[in-house]
Amino acid sequence: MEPVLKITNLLKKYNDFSLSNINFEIQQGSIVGLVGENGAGKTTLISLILNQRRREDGQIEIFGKDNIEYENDIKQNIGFFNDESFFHSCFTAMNINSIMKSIYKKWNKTKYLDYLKQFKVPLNKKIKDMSKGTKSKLMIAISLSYSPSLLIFDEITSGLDPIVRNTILQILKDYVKSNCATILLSTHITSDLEDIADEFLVLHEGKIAFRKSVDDLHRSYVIYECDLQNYNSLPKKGMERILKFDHKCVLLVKSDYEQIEFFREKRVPLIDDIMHFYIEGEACL
Amino acid sequence: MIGLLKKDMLLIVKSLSPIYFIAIMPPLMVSLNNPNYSIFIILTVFDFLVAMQIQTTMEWDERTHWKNTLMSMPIRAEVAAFSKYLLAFVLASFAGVVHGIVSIIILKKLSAFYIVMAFVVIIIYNALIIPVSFAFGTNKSKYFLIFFVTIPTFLAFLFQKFNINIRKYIMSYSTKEIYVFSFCVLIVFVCVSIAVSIKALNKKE
Repeated sequence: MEPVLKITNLLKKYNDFSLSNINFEIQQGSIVGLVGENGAGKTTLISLILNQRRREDGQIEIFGKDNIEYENDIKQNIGFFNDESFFHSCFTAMNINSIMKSIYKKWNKTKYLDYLKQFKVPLNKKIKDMSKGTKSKLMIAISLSYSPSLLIFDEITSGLDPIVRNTILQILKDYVKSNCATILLSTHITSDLEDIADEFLVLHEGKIAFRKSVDDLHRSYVIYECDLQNYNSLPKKGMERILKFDHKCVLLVKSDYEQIEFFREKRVPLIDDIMHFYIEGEACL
Repeated sequence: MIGLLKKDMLLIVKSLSPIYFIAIMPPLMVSLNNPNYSIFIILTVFDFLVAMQIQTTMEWDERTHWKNTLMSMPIRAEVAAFSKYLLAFVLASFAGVVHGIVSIIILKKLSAFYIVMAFVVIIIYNALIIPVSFAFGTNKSKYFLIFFVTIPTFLAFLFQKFNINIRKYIMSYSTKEIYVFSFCVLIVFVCVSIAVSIKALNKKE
């Protein structure tokens, strides 16, 4: 099956930062998390996918079409929302309906009103009088009301309480299930991804440092702790990354790695751990 | 295009404030002391209030990072830029109608001069402000406008200093020729303005 999103050798340069050698594909029906420290290039990558910034090199194909050449066709089928882009604060949800129906061919008012009802978003309250959680739910209702096949969300759950976050994640999960849609979700809150993502990408200094399915991560890796002095004598095959502290070290190893007697605290890694290993840690050589 | 136009119209309606009526008061007082110019003064103030509405929508757009949202929508930069000019045309037409009605009520005849004046003032104002706002932001566009309005004053000063009788020069042409020339200049000015706006809106990092 043709991937929904295919990125090949993407390059974007700034004076002090570059996003380079980005290659990945996203298959239909999957939820992919994009994680990385501040400034890793997540927002730049999303901007390039949406052709909001100019790429230096490489290819971005969405639904099998070039994202620049077929920009308008493609964008009819993309839902996007980031935590900075809200509608004007004097608008109500009903005002937005009258605007959006003239912009998106597939805009469905009934669906929009159903989502607003389901998310408990008031129809005639001005955006400026809504809480951050309600605004986010409104933006998600807007994003889903023209049945896009690809949803791109950038930090949509930041600053929200756990209850609203869970509600939003559940909404997205249901949408993907019922529409066979695809989501690319950039977030700092990696626990969100543990709940809903099928796979995740770790961006570090403009490069993809790690990519795995969440299941694979839990199945294929374990974390051990040991004293730093014992580390040097260990066989390095099957060891991926190490985080060094004063006297101890934390190791990310393949799950089939032979357990050594002085290993302590075996546990399954979380996405957060992977971020730490690939951002702060080093390779085991 | 229609969606953007609707968005801007809604913004204008929602931004209407009693302050606009207060803004009309001082010129109204002045005009009462100069009955011969009263319609002219009031309508000029009205034109500027109408003309300023597009800048108001652009200020709203800036505050809400609208460009970010806009660029995720299936709308080309050309369309987004052109929608502001279309709005200017709609507002200029509205002002022209108001001028026509006022001239019928006060002067008991339809004055083409007043209608054309409304149209030209609003189009020129926005043809100046829109590209500058797209390129440098609405805040800086105000300074640009101040700079621009000093140009006629400076020209008048130069004409006086070098003893150039511009009035005599203009009067050597017929009214029809002046209208045609002004119209052509206006068209070229608007086209350049649209081109600059598109370029500014298309500018990507």
